[in-house]
Formats: sequence, C-alpha cells, structure tokens
Amino acid sequence: MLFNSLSFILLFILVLVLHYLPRLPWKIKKTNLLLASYLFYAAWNPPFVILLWISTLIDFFVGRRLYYVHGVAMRRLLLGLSLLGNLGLLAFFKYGGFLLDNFVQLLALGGISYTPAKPDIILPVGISFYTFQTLSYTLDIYRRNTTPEKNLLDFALYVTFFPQLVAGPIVRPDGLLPQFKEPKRAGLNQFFWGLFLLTLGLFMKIVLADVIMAGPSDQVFGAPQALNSLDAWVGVLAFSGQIFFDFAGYSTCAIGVAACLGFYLPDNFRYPYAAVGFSDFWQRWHISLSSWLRDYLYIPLGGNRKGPRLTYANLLFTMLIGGLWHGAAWTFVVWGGLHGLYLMAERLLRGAVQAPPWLKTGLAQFGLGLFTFFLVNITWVFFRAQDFSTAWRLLQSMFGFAPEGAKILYTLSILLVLTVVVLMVAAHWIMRRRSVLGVASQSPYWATGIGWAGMLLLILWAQKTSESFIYFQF
Amino acid sequence: MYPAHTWKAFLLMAALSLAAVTGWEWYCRYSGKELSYPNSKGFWAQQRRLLADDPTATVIIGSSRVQFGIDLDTWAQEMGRRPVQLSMEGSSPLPILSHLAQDPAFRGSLLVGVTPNLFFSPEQSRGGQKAAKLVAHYLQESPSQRLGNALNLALESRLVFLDEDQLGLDRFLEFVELPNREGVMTMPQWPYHFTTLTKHRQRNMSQAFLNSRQAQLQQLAVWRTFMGWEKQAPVLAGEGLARLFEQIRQDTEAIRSRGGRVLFVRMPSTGSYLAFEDARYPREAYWDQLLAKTGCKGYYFSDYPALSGFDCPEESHLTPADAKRFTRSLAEIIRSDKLPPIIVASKAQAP
Repeated sequence: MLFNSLSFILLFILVLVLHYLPRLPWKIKKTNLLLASYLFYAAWNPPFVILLWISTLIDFFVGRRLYYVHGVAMRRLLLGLSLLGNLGLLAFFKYGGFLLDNFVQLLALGGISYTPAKPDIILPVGISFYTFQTLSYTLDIYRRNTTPEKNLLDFALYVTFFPQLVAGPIVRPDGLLPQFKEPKRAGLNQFFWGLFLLTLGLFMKIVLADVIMAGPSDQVFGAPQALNSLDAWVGVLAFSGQIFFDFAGYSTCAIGVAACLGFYLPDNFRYPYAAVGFSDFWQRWHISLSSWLRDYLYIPLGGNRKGPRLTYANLLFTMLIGGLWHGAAWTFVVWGGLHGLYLMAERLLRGAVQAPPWLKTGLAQFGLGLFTFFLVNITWVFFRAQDFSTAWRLLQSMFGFAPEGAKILYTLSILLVLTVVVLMVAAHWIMRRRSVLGVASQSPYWATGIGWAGMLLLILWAQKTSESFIYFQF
Repeated sequence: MYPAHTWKAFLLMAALSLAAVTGWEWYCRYSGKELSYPNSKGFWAQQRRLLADDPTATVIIGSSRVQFGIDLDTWAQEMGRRPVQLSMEGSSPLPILSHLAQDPAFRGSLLVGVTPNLFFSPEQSRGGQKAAKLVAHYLQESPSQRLGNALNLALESRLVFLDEDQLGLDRFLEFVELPNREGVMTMPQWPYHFTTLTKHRQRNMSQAFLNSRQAQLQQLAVWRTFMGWEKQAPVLAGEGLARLFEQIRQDTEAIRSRGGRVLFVRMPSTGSYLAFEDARYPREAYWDQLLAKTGCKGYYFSDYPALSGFDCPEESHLTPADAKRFTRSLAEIIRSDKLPPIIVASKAQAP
C-alpha cells in the first residue's frame, strides 16, 4: 500500500480510530497495529506476508536461544541459521536472477552455451529493509548488545510496523521495541506535527519528485542516443532531485505516520546535498542504512583498526555491498564502488594534507559542498542507468564528448528542474545545522499553516496518486 | 518538544484548504467544465473484470474512434445489452485481442475498431505498448490498487476539479508556452477539455469543444502534426504485415472456436485524415486482407450509406449526436446480416 494512495488514507483513518479508542487494552491496540501492518503489506501481494512470518519466527526463537547458549559453536550455528534464513530469502527473491545471469555469462566465457529457463520471480516489496532490520536484532543479541524480546507480539510488530516496513528507516531493536512496552498516544501537537510531516513527505514525493523531476529524468535516461550536454546534465540533476524527494519524502511520511500514533522514528536524511565530503554525505543520506553497514559490516571487518590498507579495503568492500543492497545489477555495484573510492580518496587526503585555514571559511566549505554534489551526481548516472552502455553514453554527453548530441528537453522542463535543484541545494545548505522541527518551532503558526495549506493544495492539484516509491524495489 | 502552535497551524491549514478547494470546484463548474471519470489503467481493469461475471458479453476494443463513435446506451437499446468498453485512445487493440483470445472463459462478441495507422502497426509500436500495459496492469493489479482505484472513481466522478487529464498540474504546465531550442521535437498543443469519459468508459466530445471551432481546428492541427511525423516512417508491409495477420487470425480463431464472434469495424474519418489513411493504408492491401485472412465479418463505413456522410469536427471522431446515429445504423446492419447466433457454451464445456 502506498502512502500516496487513497487506500492508505482509508487504512490510516481506521488505524487511528482503533488506536485512540478509549478503554481498549494496550495489547489489543498493538494487535490492531500488527494486523494493520500485515494488511498494509498484503495489499501488494498477499502471499508475501508469509515471508514476514518466516522472518519473525526465525529471529524470535533463534534470538531467545542465542542469548542463553554459551558454547561458541552453538552460538555460531544459531547465528548461521538466522543469517541463512533471512539472507537466503533475500538471495532467492532479489539476487536469484542476477546470479543465474552471471553464471550463464561465466559459462559462456568458458565456451559453454547454457540457456536456463527464465526465472519468474517477483521481488517482495521492501524485503531488503525488513531483512536488515531483523538481522540487526539477531546480530545485537549475538554480540550481547541487547536482550532477547520475550513477547512475540512486540517482536512481530518490531519486524512489521507499517510506517517503516517497506522503505525504512531501518530501526534497531533498542530504538523501537521499548516503545511497544507502554501505551502510546500522541499529544495534540505531536499528532498534528505527524500530519504536517505526512503532508511534507507527500509534497516531496508527488509534486517535486513525480511531477517536476521524474519526466525529464526518465526522458534523458531513456534516450537511445547521445545527448546535448545541457540535456544530459539536466536529466542527471533531475534524477538527483527525484531520488532525494522520493526517498526522503517516504521517510518523512513514515516518521509523520508514526508520530500520529505516538511513536518516534529516527531521521533518515539530514540535508545530504549540503554535505562536505563523502563521510559527511553518508552521515546525511539514508542514515539508517549507512549506520547499519558501519556497525554490522565495516566495524566487524576491522574498520580502521587494522592498518591503512585494510581500512581502505574495508571501506571499499562495505560500499560495494551497500551498492549491491540497492539492486541486483552491476551498475549498482559500480555506484557503491565509486562511493567507496570517494571515501578512500577523502581519507587519504585528510591524512596526507593539512587543510589550510581558508578551507574552513564558509565560502570554501560551500565550494567543497558543491564539488561533493557534483561527484554524487556522477554516481547517480550508474545508479539510474539501465545498463553500462547507457551510463557511458550519458557520461560522454555530460562532458561534451557528443557535440552532435540530441536536444530533447523542453525549455520549461529545463527551467523547472534547474530552479528546483538550485532551491533544493540552497535549502539543504541553509538547513545544514537545523531541523524542520526547530524551524517550525520558531515560526509563527500562520506561516506554518499557510505553507502547510500550500503543500496540500499542490498535492491535490498534482493528483498523482499511483506512482510507486523508487526505494520499494530495493 | 513539538511546536506548541501546531494545532493552530492545522486549523488554519484546514480552513484555507477547504476554502480553496470549494472555490476551485465552484469555479470549475461555473466555467462549464464537465464531470469526467479518470482515464486510468485501474478503470480499464475494473471494466475488464466485468467479463468474469459475463463471459458472453459484447466487448468493444480499439482506439479512440470506437470509444467516441459507438454510443453504449444506443447499443444497449438496439441490442439489448450494454457492451463492455475496453478501447483506449492512441492504442492498438491487438494486445487486448490476444489477451481475450487467451482467456478460455471469454466467448462473447468482440467489436474491434480499426484505425489503420494504429491497428496495422508492429507489436512494439507505441500504441501496441500502451495496450499491453493495460493488460499487464489488469493481470498484476494488487488488492491495494483495486481499492485505491475504486476510491478514486468514487471521488473523481463527483468532483470536477479532480479531472487529472484536464485540470491536473501536469496539464496546466503544458499551457506554459516557452520557446524551445532549435532541434527539440515539440509536441503540438492539445485543446483544453477535448473530451469527457463516462462511468462506462464512453468517450464524448465536451460541450466546450463542440461549441468552439477554434478548439476543433487546434485538434485538427494536432492530428496533422502526427500525420506529418508518421509519413516519415515506413508503413508495416511484407513479412511484418503477414506476421501481424497471422497473429490476428490465430486470436480470432481462438475466440470463434469457443463460440465467440469477432467483428471488425472501420469507423468514419473525413477530409485530410481520411486522405492520409487511404494513401498509406490502401483498403485492398490492409482492410480487405484482414477480412480475407481472418474470415471475420467487417463493416467499412463507406460501404454503407447509413454509416457515411458524417462530419467529424476534427476529421477523426464522431460527435455524441452522430455517435448515436452511427450506432443505431450499425446495429441495424448487423441485425439485418442475420449472423449465426453465438453458441453459448456452458462453463463446464468451455475449453
């Protein structure tokens, strides 16, 4: 079920009514939330709810046993069982076709022709998100960072909580499970703040991502020929805006929906296009994934504790896995690899060169921020392109190697994209050390009210109710 | 922790939004805009599902000409049953024909509109892909999409301002005229509020369009631009055309073998549009071959005085009044042909 659909609005109203019914025990309200979460997920493809049940049951029972067993071998066996269950499902549904394709190509390199039956596997929506969420629970117990949850209802709700089930934020057990212990209800201002965030997220998704950015981005990435430099750049910038507004929009909706119910979800984005450097970028973009990869992959691999060479190797490996997490294609791996290389280069520079004082001035930082944004855009080419030939053709077009490239974008599209991108980068820079909550707290109510009405009316005017969020496919 | 004034901001937002939406809706109605159903894949899928309960229904497939030109109410009066309208503007009906041929339950009457440049086009053409997407949506529609579509229909059939095709932000942006760079392929500007769609997917020219000769000429200019582009591409012929005929033959044969019936109809067009179609798709090489290869009955408008002589305001579609006349005449002709009755097999007998 999409946040930007009438069916979700209907479900949400029903959930709110049940959640705020007086004299209903908390256990019943949690059960309502769990059933609503299953309904939310089943609305895409009912049989896939079974995957949630499998994931829930494996980790609930493995987690309990894992905590109380002391033998190393047994603990590893139990951890392996959880990893096998969760990653096995992910591997089958998300990477099965990709692995098979690569196997066939490998055989072809050896001169063996093999044509397997085409696997007809539907990717369960959001499987990468809830798999990583449940894995963090088992891994935390294995490392004795948390205690096992005793209540199956609470644990099932932790795995399935509908606001963040299919596209994050990926929440750690300590961040969500304790919230289910006591009855939750939002105060008046929290409730309306949640509605404000829901409106803001939908505005980002429907108006900015779908109406303004998606068209030019699709046109440019779908073009079969080399393009004029301006068109190529505008298309890539449009995608950089689209992916941000789409994904940050979803996270904002998720935080808002949870707030209406009295729950707290952490921020997933902190104005990433104002990042100065790539370690800063990854503390601002998809924070719940980058911190997950840091805590459960990079640090266990040794992090920066085993000398410079291994540190660089760990960085690169972590980012390659991060790329693969996004999609079963080599273009995503290259996207992750580029980010890994950027992080390595940044680390190398920081260690080798003493930054001159002028580099810390506002203007220089802004320049570095723009340079970071420029490099991020290069990575988006690989992220969005269907294949390497498209990515390569587009890069050539962007950097002037296709002087006869086609002009395909309307003047209006170019102006709209450039205006929104400039405003987006400026807004990120202004908000770099602030939050929407802080700004709204300091603003007069009428300013918030007018801005809120403006966003809602634009959503109604845009009338796009059925475009899927990009990150659902991951 | 949360801004102390959020509830006040909410009340202000609610008041402003309600006032703006009410004013907007009033303005739309006051300025003569008509209620229209959304032309969505979900709406198409909803109509397609009607066949599950009535596999012997009459179904219309094709592009916009049969959607404008066959008046469903008139057909219901003449033939006793309202047909299910599964046409889609700018599309080829062939993917839908194949889809119905593959549905073992369907054994009704199929009226297939033939608009030559859309019908005689390869499978991967834009029109073919458009129809294929409808079928794919129908086959893969999630419960959430179905519910969302039902809610959308309930709202959009009551509120004029929710007409996404005519009044949405996308459509508004089309009217911002800025000169494009040299070499950019610019789409022609469609007139405002050309058509409306009813709850049975009947498409009609809006009253505003019928009253405005300027809008009609603007639409004609759109068609002429499309014709100009099409002239630069080769027509489907030779082996490609033979493959197309063979696919149609197999599909029509599958439906007929279950007791169903397939009728082709060439809807009227006039003026430069008709001349363009006659020149690129000569009747003997396309229409006549279609009937010969499939063995199906066909109705070509110019063969029947009662089906000709219409004045299409933009040379391609019938007005609502002409659609009624055309439909009544077509129904009479079909009845007078005394086609053998459809053998309605029971569900158990269906293959």
